[in-house]
Amino acid sequence: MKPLLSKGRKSSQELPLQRDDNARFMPWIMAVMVFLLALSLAFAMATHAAIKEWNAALTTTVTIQIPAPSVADAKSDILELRVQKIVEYLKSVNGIASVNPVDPTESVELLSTWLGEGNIKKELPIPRLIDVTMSDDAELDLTELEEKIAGLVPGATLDDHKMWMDEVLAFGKRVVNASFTVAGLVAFATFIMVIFATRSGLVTHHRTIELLHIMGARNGYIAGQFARNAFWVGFFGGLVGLICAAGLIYGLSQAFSDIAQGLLPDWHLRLRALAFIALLPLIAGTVAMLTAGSTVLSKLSRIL
Amino acid sequence: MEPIVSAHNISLSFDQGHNVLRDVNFELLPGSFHFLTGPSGAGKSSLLRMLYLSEKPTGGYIRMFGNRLDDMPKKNLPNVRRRIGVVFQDFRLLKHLSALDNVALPLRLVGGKKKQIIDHVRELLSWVGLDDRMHAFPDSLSGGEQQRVAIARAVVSKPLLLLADEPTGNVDDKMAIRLMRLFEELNKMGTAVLIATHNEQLISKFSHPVMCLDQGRLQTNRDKAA
Repeated sequence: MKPLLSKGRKSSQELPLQRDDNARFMPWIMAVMVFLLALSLAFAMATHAAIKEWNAALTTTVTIQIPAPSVADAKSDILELRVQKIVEYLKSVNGIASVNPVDPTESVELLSTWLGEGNIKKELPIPRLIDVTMSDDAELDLTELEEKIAGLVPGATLDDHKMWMDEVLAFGKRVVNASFTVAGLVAFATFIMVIFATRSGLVTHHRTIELLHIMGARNGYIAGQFARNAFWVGFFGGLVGLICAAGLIYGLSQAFSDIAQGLLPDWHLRLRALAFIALLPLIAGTVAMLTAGSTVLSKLSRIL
Repeated sequence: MEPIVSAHNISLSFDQGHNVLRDVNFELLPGSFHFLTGPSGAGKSSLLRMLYLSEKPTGGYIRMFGNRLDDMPKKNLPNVRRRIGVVFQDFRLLKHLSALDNVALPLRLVGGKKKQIIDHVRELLSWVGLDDRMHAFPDSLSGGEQQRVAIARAVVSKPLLLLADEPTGNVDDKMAIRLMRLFEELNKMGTAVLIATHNEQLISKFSHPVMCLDQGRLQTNRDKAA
């Protein structure tokens, strides 16, 4: 038995918005826009978080480098004794949380990333490194500390990573800003597109809109139909875009982890960023709904 | 008795200086039945457009249901429109909706209850002889059937005023008479009816007053009953 009055979203609307040209293209355009938006936001937020964490980790860490002895002393334990000397001193300094001499094999592993596996000869004078972690509230004078260790072991240096960290941080900030700008432009383009699609819909359906007006429909009723349609277009298009973006973001973060292990900070989306990106289809739908609704109201308020 | 519509020196002209209507005055009483006639281009459709609030007069004013339309805030216009039923020559049915949904439209706009809408619409479609075509879509209906659906839609909200613009223009003579009988039945229930037509032969078959427009002026007000 046939229903007495049509049910469902498609058939009950007086304005057949799902049947015009906009309906065919808009979901796909929204999908592409949300895809680009998700990628740029994910990149911006993950990079921002990675830099922040990396910066926090490195500002409490310094590396002490003890140069390798001359060839004549190479076979003696002189280097190990120098390391011990500095370690003992550092452990007595207030504000230092931990002192970890880097194992020579680890240093070789780090170098092999650059020089290639098996290319490092035993005779190569590799300096010894000591990782020093300071307490969060430590107020150490690093210049004084460097002078002290240089006094203990001539040639020993202290690297607080500041010089190159500043450059990396500045570059990171530029990358984050550029990504947020791209995201903003994509959002703005989406906003403009919804306005033009809605205006085009008003032109396409002007006879039906006039008829509804003649029957006594209020502007809000007509705007509501455009707004509801725009919400679903934004939401479903956004969902498709998000699914595609999620796959790509996951793939990229895995690939990045494999390449950058140990060299660069961990690049992945934190929970809050993930939640925000997961909400993009809903946000796209809501923004499209509000934009379409207000566009229709503004246009209709100018006619009789 | 206070008229439900009164036109006071209304005129309509376009930017190019063409005067469609000039100093038109008339009154429609509740429950009255009038024909509006005149040659093509005389301004019949323009006058109706002003009466169903799709066009504003460029001069004069219209009082409707006790209020001057030009003084009325825009937000109140839908309430006036809901008391007017309109039948168009080209029917203007929504092709993606069934006959039932088309007729239900004015009731949906005011947020009527589904059960009441269904009952009332079925009754109306039965009244216009389309109880077996309720679920048909406009494209599958004949011209006469489409016009009957349009009439049912125009009267479904029990309007105080029914305006019909050449309602018999796209149907044969037999169907035209049948449609006119429907308008008369509606009129007997208290709705004022104004039918614009240039079909003098049809007008002559009925004894209702005739308003005649010629070159934008209301020339005569023939009272055939007199």
